[in-house]
Formats: sequence, structure tokens, C-alpha cells
Amino acid sequence: MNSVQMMNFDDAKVKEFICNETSEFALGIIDIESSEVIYRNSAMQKIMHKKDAKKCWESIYGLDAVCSWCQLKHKDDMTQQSLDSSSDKEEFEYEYFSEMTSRWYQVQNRVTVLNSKKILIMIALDISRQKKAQGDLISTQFRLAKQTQELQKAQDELKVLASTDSMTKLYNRRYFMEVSDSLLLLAKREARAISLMMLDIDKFKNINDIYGHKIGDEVIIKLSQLLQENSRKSDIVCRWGGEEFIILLPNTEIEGATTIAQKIREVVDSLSIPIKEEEAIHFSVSIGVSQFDSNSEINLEATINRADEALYEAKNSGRNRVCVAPYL
Amino acid sequence: MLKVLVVDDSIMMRNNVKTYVQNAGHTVIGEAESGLLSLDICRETKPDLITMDITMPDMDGLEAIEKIREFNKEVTILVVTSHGQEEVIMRSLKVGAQGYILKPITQENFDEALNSIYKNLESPKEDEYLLDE
Repeated sequence: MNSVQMMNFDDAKVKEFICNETSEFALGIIDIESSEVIYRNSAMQKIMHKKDAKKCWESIYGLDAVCSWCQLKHKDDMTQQSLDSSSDKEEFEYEYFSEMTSRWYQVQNRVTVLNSKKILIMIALDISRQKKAQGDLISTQFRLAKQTQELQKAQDELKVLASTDSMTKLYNRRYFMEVSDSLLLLAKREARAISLMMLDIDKFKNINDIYGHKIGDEVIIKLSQLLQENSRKSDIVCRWGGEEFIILLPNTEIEGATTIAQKIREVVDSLSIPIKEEEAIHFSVSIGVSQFDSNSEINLEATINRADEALYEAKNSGRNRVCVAPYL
Repeated sequence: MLKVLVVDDSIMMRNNVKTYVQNAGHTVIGEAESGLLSLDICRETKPDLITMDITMPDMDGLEAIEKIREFNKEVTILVVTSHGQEEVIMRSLKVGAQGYILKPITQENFDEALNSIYKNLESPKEDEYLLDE
């Protein structure tokens, strides 16, 4: 019964049925040669302004203008491939946001030939509701990505915080122990030397007592900068505690380590830190140097102890000097 | 109250955004119709917030954000775009945007975006007031 009724619709009625005001989708038919809109229903009328629409077709079909209707550079993307081919029947679809109506459309275009005229049939479906859901999802996705980024940053900061001494920004003891184990393993495997030096500020207690802790801290900070400047990138400079420092020197024989230690001692000795007008602090350091002995030592603990003993010796023999732990 | 710079090549879209900004209790202190123009206006007006379109003539929004970040690290940037591709989202984040809205922009999603951006930042007086209570 229904089909019979349908059969009774004439062309105009069918057109009216699918294209009238209540229609959910927008329909437009465009003559490609002249860029003229042959037909559009009221929904399509709302989406596009005639003048702008013409521009759009012009830009699609070979002219250089950017489509001001849908703001897409059609020539750059989806339409190019379909227009380059010489077939008479082409289909392509895309999504676009109309600023005229502030809504999203899924646009289906079909190029076909009617009465020997090349025409474009364009159907635009309003997909704003789906797009709204997608928009919410995207905002969430963005927020999540941002949080991940912030978390990563916080984690990195925490890592730095956990591995450095806050006052001097040198590595702390914890980090030293962590990294020295792996550096030692590497040195062993490659049969390379590894040395270290223990360094202590001479008579630091006097500096604190005479000038106060604030100046004492400044001395430590200044020395830390100096150690950093006078060591190589691969050296691990660390505040061992109080006024005591340790420097791990990978790939370095005891002779090389001693040279570096001497240089540091000299630089410190020539340094004076101005505190008030015409008053400056001069201080010195004692250093003990040792090299890891792969024959008798399994980890750096004994090497550190021997450097410590050498440091003790440097202190006992008058300070402001470098002593070397014997190495076979 | 935030001082807002609205960047979009469509005057209609700028007007929409301006309405939402004002409804949310903020002030529009400038508008630009391209990425390139937004740089100078940003330098001159020192906004707290920029709403940034992506597809624009002469300089797109992502490039503009990158350029702005070279001289202004503080300003909050909210991307307002019709691009939904993951690549664009990630690039926005990388160049330093704090929020992302897919067009169409509504009062609701605009407010939501602002809330999510500013909830972590101290908006001094109100927060202090809350803390005192």
C-alpha cells in the first residue's frame, strides 16, 4: 500500500518531501562549469551564503582563492585527488565547521553528469551533537595530557631534589653512592682506571666562629662553584657532608687525579672572598687522593677510606696540601 | 577579572568569544584577526588570557603561540579551534597552550575550560579569603 502511495508522488513532491524546511539535511546542487548554485534547500540556504558558496566552488574547482565558506583549502586536501582524475563520477566527504551557523556538518559531495552538464551534488548533515561529545572528549584528553606533562615535570624536579644538595646544588651522598656503583662496574668491564678525591676545608670551624654561619655557608657555596668549574663534565662532584666534598674521576689514573687536586688546591689558595669593605676571607683545602685497586678492592668503600686516610695525613702534615694514598 | 585578547580571523567568532568572555565577568582588552597581528597586540596590551584560533591567514595559531612564548611565558593561552586531530592537540600542548576547545564554543564549554585552567592557579583574593575561613 505504502509503495503504491509513494509511486504517486511526482518529482516535485518528492523534492519537497526530502528538501523542505523540516528536512534534517542540507542539499545543494551546483553547476561546476559556471559555479552557480542550481538548487539548494532551505537548510543549505542557512549554512551558506550564496556569494560565499560560489567562492567555495571556485576554490574547489581550480581557482586559487581559499574557500571562505568552509575555510578549508580544498585544493590542498581532500578534493584534489578526486578532481585530478578525469572520471565523471566522483565522491568525497569531509567534516567542517560553519561559522555562519556555528554548527558542524558532515559534507558528502558527488560529482556527476546530468543533461551533459557536470554538476556537484552536496549533502550536509548536521553532526553538531556528535561533535559536542568529541569536543568534550578532546578537552578531557588535552587536560589529561597536560596533567601528565606536569606530573613528568614534577617527577623530574623531585629527582633533581633527591639527588642534589639544596645549598650547593652539588650531588648529594645518596646520589654519589648510587652512581658510583654503576660507574665502577663500567670501569671494571672496560679495564679503565677510576680515582677519587676527598676534600675538606681547613679550619672551617674558625670561619664559622669568627664570621658566623652565614659567611660559613657562603664559603661552602663559593667552593662548590669552584669545584664544579675546575672539574670535567664526567666527574661526579658531591657534597659529602658539612665542609667535606668528594669527587669521583672516571677514567683517570692516580697521577691525573693528583694533578687536578693540586690545581684545585692552588685555585682555592689564591681565592679571597670579600665580605665587608676591605675585608676578605682567605681559606685553604686539604685533599686526599686514591685510585680504585681492582686487585684488592671490590667496591669503592675501601677506596674512599684510603682517600680519607690520605686526607687525614694532609691535615696532620700542615694542611693546604694534597696527599696521595699509595697505589701499587 | 581577566584581561583577555581574542584572536580569530572570523569577526563572527570573535564577537561570540567576546560575549562569552564578558558573560564570565572578564574584559576583552584587544582582538586580532591573524596570528601575526596578535603578537604586537599581546606585547602592547599584556593580557592574562589569549583565546587563539588555529587556522588563520599569514600566521597560524600554533606558530603564533610559539612566538608569543618567546617573550611572554606567563599569559594563559586557550586554543579555540575546529581541529580535532590528536596531532594538533599535542602540538598545542607542546607550544604552551593551557586549554583546548573544539568549536563551536558555547558559554558552557568556555566556562568549563576556564575553570579547569584556573583551578590550580591562585586567584589571589578569593583563595586567601577561603583559606581564612
